[in-house]
Amino acid sequence: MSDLHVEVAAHHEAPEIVDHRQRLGIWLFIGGDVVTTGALIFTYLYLRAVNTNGSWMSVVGLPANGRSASTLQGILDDGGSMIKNIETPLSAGFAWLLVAVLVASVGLYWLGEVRLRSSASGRSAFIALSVLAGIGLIAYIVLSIVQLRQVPQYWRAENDSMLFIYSTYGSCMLALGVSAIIHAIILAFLSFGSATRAAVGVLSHEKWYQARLIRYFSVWVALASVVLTLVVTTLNVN
Amino acid sequence: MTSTLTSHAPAHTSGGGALRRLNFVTALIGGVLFGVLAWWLAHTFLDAGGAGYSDQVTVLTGCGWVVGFLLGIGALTGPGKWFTGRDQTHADEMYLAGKDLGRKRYFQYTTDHKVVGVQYIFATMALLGTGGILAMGIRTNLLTPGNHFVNQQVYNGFLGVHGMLMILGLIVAVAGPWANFVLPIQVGARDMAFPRLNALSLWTLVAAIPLLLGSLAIGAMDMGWVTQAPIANQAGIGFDLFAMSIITFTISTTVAGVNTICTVLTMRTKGMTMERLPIFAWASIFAAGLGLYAFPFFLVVMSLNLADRMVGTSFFVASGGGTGWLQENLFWLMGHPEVYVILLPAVGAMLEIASVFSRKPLFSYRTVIGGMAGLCGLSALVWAHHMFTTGWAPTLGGPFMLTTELISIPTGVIFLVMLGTIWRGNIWMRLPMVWVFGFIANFIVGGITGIYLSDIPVDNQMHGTMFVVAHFHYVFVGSVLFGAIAALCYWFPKVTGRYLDEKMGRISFWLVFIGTHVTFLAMFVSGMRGMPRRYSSYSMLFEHTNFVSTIGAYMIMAGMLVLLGAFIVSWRSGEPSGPNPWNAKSLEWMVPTPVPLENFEVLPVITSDPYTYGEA
Ligand code: HEM
Ligand SMILES: [Cu+2]
Repeated sequence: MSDLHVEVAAHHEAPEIVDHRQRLGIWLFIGGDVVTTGALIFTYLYLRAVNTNGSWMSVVGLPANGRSASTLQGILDDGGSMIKNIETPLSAGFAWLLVAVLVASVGLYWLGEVRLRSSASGRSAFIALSVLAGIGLIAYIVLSIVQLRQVPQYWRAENDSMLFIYSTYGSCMLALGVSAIIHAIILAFLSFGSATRAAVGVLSHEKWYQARLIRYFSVWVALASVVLTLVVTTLNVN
Repeated sequence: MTSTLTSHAPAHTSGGGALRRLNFVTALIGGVLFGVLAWWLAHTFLDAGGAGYSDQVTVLTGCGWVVGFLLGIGALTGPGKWFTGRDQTHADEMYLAGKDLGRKRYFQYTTDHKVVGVQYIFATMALLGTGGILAMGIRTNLLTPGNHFVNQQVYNGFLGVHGMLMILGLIVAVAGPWANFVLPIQVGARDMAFPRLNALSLWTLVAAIPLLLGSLAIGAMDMGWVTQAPIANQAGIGFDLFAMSIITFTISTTVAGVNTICTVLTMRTKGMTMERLPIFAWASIFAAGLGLYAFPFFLVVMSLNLADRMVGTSFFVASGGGTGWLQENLFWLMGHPEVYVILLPAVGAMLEIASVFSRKPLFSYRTVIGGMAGLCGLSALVWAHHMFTTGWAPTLGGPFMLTTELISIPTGVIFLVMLGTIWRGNIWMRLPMVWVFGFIANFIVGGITGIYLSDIPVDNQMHGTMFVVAHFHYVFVGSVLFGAIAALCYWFPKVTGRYLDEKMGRISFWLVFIGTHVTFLAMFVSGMRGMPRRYSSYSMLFEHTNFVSTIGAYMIMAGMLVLLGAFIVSWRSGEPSGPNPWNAKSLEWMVPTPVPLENFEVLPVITSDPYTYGEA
């Protein structure tokens, strides 16, 4: 029976090996996410480049804010025609504010990781900083929703039905915004989870590298938001 | 040793927690409950007058199903435990690995890679089986020119769902069962790198299948498997579930791909250098890596299409400024690499078989790895050969023609390596090898017609005809399916301890082999005479060749049924095979059959590659 325990012990691999494997795993997931983000950027640049009939930022229709489909129907029945609406880009300042909030949250988490790594007493700092990062991320999500509500919507008539549509610029902003929100939700989950894990003691000074895995992902998300914001704030008008 | 471990560890009495009560049945219940709940919420709270309302309801119902199913199987227990800091105990892990659970473990969120592999065998059979039934429906409809076996609307739905079921089925046909069951043993590991993610990939796949079948039930889909916009934007609500199914599936493959790569790169036993890896392991990581690149495009193109339908974005809607070309680009950026994601594992498995049954080392090991690498690299640069006739970027036609013709070089290299391996070998003509020979004959036809199609002047004539359909069926049915069956025959004894019945297997082979040529050679002729693909009825001009194709298709079906029979009979009462029936040298044949829970009592130390046949 004694050799049995040797064997069982052998099945538990050294933490460094497990960590190495998990890091590779995270990098691969990030790789997949890079392609996903790349596909969205491709979409954005493609639609801006083709700009069919000058439609990138303009739409033939009735600005929708608060108006119902029957309003449009009424205008059409009165012999009125739809107007061509020219949009303006969303506020660049607000977009950079969003980036700032995200980068700050990720920075807080990273700082927490540094503290956790440096000493056993860094754990309480880590808990506090992860919670702050999580709160920052929630703020980011709320602000992103506010931003998405600025994307103009239009009513238009097509094939006998009233459609609610976005310009291609608006469509891209919507897709990028939703993608950012999904990422922020995941990061918030990971940040608060880190805090609870550290609070109950499973994430400790000795296991600081578990926080590093999350930081890798957060840094990528922050980086992506910088790149995306650069693209959408510079390459936007017709 | 392992049996001592069994009686010693108290795993089965304490581990598992909440997971003890969860299984496939609770997953189904959870899926249905959440689906209904989501449907009800959507109905109650969404604006019924709004555009996209029915799509919103359908998508939310689909989401409800997936979430409920994953909750019900226990996939979300892990993240929940992680969040609250209650990590799994050793007993939990043992329970999850299915220790002492008997058959029950096949219906649970089990992490043991061998169980997952077997689950994948059945998931693959479900996908290919239902896809095959739809194929029979399609071919029956095409039996005679004006035959209306099903109405046109249903026919279109059959076509799209048949295509996608088969694509998903073939993506997992080799990688699912064998990169799970065999691969960890081949590299000398006790399990996959991330066992729980392994179970996750399987069960997300299972969650995706009913969505695809459900899409057919609620119907009205004319967009084909390529989900061409704007047809997909106009399709009925069936498309919403169709797209949801694919989105769910991309999660499954991404998770599986990461797992496969990490297993090979970080779990190898002592002495298992990259140069001693069995070629199947190399093929698996190349395919997994290529999948990590390709499937995000799938996720994006389906999500954008759903957004167009649900909330009024105009990505692919011309009247809103979008363009169908964008859809095609995104789709084929995924679509072409994907055909190699499908092909590579099958080829890897067949290279193993070729070496074992020729009793010869793999011919030019490094060359084939180079060939696979070249294939992966180039496959990202050829997508627009699917768009030659669409009018998109005509100036890029030349470059894409060039890259497409170039990709036949690494493809040819791999093919020659297979021939070189068999060349002058002492061939042992057992069932797996029979299918490999079938592959060799078929792949030549599939590959060479591909080169014809990459030539733009030819493609201008052939695009959109049955010629293209015949080309890719030669590669999918004639090559990948043959490879998948070869792999099944080869590794079946490792799973069951029994041979797959040789006689029934050969009957099946001849039916499928002859059927493939009858069906698709005739289809080439239909195509060359100008018969467009995707039509439910056709001119008298194509009468004879279509009749022949349909007869061939029935032969394939008959052959597959015989194979299914062989599978069932052999699993129950086939001839016992012992642990290493083929006298092979890779590690999976060195462990006992049935393979113990942790594969190896003591991890082996490797001193040579597994292809030392004829040497000592
Ligand atoms: C020598 C290698 C190959 C070449 C040069 C090649 C070339 C082509 C070309 C040019 C087309 C476009 C035809 C058209 O739509 O007009 C095509 C279609 C297709 N090929 Fe290949 N091919 C090759 C191998 C393969 C392999 C190995 C697979 C699968 C494992 C495959 C699967 C497909 C599929 C699925 C389509 C059509 C998809 C559709 O339109 O629905 N091909 N091929
Ligand atoms: Cu292709």
